[in-house]
Amino acid sequence: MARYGMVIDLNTCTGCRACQAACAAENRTPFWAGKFRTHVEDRTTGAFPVVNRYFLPHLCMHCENAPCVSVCPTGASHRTEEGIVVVDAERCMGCKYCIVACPYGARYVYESEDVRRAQEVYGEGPKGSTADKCSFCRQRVQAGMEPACVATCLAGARIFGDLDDPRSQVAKVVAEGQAKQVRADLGTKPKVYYLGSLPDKEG
Amino acid sequence: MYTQQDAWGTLIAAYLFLGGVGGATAAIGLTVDQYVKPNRRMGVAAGLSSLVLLSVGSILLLVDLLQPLNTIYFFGNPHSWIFWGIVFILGMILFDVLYLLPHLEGWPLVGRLARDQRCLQRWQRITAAVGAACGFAVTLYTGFLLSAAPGIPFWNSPLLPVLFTVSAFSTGLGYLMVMMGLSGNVGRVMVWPGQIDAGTILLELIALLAFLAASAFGGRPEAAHSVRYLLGSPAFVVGFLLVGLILPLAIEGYTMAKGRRGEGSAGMVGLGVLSGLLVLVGGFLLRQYVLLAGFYVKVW
Repeated sequence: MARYGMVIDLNTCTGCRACQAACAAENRTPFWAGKFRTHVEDRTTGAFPVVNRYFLPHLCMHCENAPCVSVCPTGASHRTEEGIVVVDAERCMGCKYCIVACPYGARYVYESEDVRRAQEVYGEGPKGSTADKCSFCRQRVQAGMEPACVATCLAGARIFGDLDDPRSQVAKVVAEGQAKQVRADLGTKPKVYYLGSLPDKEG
Repeated sequence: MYTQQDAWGTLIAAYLFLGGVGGATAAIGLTVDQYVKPNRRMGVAAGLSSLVLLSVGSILLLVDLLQPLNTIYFFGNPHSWIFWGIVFILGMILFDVLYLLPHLEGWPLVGRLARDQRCLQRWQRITAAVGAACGFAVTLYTGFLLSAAPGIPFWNSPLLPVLFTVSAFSTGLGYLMVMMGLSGNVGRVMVWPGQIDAGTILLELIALLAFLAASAFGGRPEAAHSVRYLLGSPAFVVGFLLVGLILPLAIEGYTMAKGRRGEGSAGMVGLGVLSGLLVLVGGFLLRQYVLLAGFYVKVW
């Protein structure tokens, strides 16, 4: 069974946010409320004349030790056989425990107002208000495609694949040892890696 | 730089507060009645009160849920503290009811049980023991619920369950003082909760100081920011620290200093009720402000 993961190359990302738009369209997320499953932060560090501008794409880290999975009382947040952390909207009771548990801020609430608006914008949407997050576009992956954000990235900054398959590009990049996990000190074992340096939060 | 969590608000604070008061009231009332000094009136009142308090608390949790109908899946993950919280709450409600049953002597089956003294005694001791244990577990749960959330460094502390548990017992004793005072169940019976509560408040102060110090100097800037936020909040400093802890401690110290001379007098009963009420207000403010102080730094 595959163990899916992603590598994001910060040196290559151009900050065009095509990934955000593709994800919103694919997963019908409430973008009008500023809620995205993947988001690109635009950050500037330093002061004139020594200034740097970074683009930081982020999404659910699909942690192997996912706090959101362990705290979810109903089992709605769970890890699939392929290692993808998903929310089963049919089981989610909306206690928001997963939201306060996630150290990466990867989750949001699909509010009832968002549900109503989704009907207008997408023609259909979720049946009710629940917690929501990135699913690595599992519906696409199961159909043999890449997640929408990966497929649409103009710069090829996102690499997706099976971390356990040594022939996959994502496994090769991770094996080189240059790709880093975010807040690895938390022991959550994220399956999303970054190439390039992450700027300080103070930046 | 710091973001305040907004997922859990006043309803959850009230749920945690009522869970703490209800659990501790049952743990204290049932234990005292069956294992320390028989006091049927207090045992029944504690059992009934904890039933109501936990039921109201559970309703508040349901109101806060986005999909309350999906609570049919409550028991989907034994690794979750909410799973265990619901087990403890349901266990306490069940054993509370079983403990109270023999007091409904008018009911045919219950009447037969109540007349068999040996059977009745065993029944009440067992149900009180399990009910009190579940009540104690509920008080623990309210702290572990928050401390198991690594997303909020201030909550993610092993000292938070200690603080919440001690505070729960303080509010449970405060509740018993109010209840006894208002029901006229005074005299010697009215004095001991105040004496124990004074000790519990001292323990709570120590637990609070340890929790705040560990958060402020533990090397996690978000937790240190939470402490600064709390100490800069008048409702926390004045409402909880002064009015909800120091003032009741002073009142209980005064009534203890008065000793047996004032025991049972209207003034002393009034002071006991006032002290209990202040402890209850403080207990709610503590939980409300710990939730409000849930700051995190966005990783990105």
